Amino acid sequence: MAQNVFYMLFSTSTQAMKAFTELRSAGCRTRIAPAPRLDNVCCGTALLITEEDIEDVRATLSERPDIAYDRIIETEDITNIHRDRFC
Amino acid sequence: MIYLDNAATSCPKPPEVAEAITSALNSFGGVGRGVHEASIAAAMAVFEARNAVANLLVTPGADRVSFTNNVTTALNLAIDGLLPDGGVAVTTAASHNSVLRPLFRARDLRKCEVRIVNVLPNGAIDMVSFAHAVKGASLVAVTHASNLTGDVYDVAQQAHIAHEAGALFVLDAAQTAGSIPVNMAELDADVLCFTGHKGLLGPQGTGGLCPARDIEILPLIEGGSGTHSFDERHPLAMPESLEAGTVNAHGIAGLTAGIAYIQERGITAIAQHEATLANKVAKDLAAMDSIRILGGGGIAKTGIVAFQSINMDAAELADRLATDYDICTRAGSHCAPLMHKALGTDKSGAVRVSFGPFNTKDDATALLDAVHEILRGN
Repeated sequence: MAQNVFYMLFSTSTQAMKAFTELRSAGCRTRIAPAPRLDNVCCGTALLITEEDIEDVRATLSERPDIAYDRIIETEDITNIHRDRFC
Repeated sequence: MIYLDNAATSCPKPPEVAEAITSALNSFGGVGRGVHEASIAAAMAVFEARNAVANLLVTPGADRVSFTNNVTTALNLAIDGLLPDGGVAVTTAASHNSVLRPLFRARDLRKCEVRIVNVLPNGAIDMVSFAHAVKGASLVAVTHASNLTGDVYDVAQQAHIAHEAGALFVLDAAQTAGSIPVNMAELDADVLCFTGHKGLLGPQGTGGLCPARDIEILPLIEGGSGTHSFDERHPLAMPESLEAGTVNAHGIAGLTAGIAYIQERGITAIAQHEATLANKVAKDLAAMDSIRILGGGGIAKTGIVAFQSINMDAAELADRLATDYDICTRAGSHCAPLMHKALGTDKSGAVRVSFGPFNTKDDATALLDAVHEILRGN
């Protein structure tokens, strides 16, 4: 059964870069990805998180109110989460 | 060539600056305009630059650092964005045209009142007049240090007085960022404006502004944002709300390298180095009969020395230094017309010498010898 994935959405790419840097420093697995086509998506840059890692991310975010983001959405996995060769 | 015009733009830059720019030119895509390797590299570099600026200048954080192409643009954004129609603005005669002209435009086009606080003969701000002028003002925009004399002003005191009067406080740190320790939090500025190509040792085409967390500045320029593309108006989320269009990521990468050099060498060490050279030159020039040193009324000095010869026009003296001795200084009005008027040099101009982190004692000695020879032969 295919797993869902989670997208962390932002108002600015600055927020996205900060969240990516901080989450990676905290040991969370995530990668920068294009934001999915949704209504009212603010920034074209999003962070993609697997179902396996989402709880780690949520736990980190709960302790880091300085990491700003708009929301996290869950969607069907149509990407290869392991294709991270850039970051 | 002996370069003594670092208050205009610093030269040379640390080699790492050119290396960073070259690397960026060959690897960066659009910032925040795509999610691929080249675009992410650019976005991450700009984010690192925001952090570098925030750390050095102790601003509220990376998300409060908006990049512009110079401090003039930053000051225009801050002044135009915070001064209401018909509002009262205060500045001092020590201000550069990058503060004065946006204020005069607001006076002419938006019925604002502009109050200019006088400068005393020694270059000091008349603080009695300052305290009187800020009453009823909505905005105070001042320079941290005179770009003519190098006098550093007590802007923390000015900010306190401005805030007591209910005015916002915009600080022009063009001459201090990267040259002396600057702490936006301690200075209590509502907006700090900086340029990248002077003390911060970055390339021309870089600068920015850092609004405090409770300060919202409406964009002066609207357009491409990489976000909210279907909105009719430019998004208001900082810091990109003030960065319509693609920012100069290549230059900003160089700016980060310049700041890294400053952090490694130490801002206090750089400030002491430049002040030592400037003090030596000021002292020895003052001992020459026909020389008048300008300023001296600040709480500290940057690496600037401005002087006037009673026997020779400033432009001629600077030209002789350049052509006969290969020494780069700056004559003229320095975009500080009211300061020159206050100091009585609006007709004659002045020669400005400004030291940078790579100048040496030999540079100072060469300048002194050259001025002595020129004036002796005149």
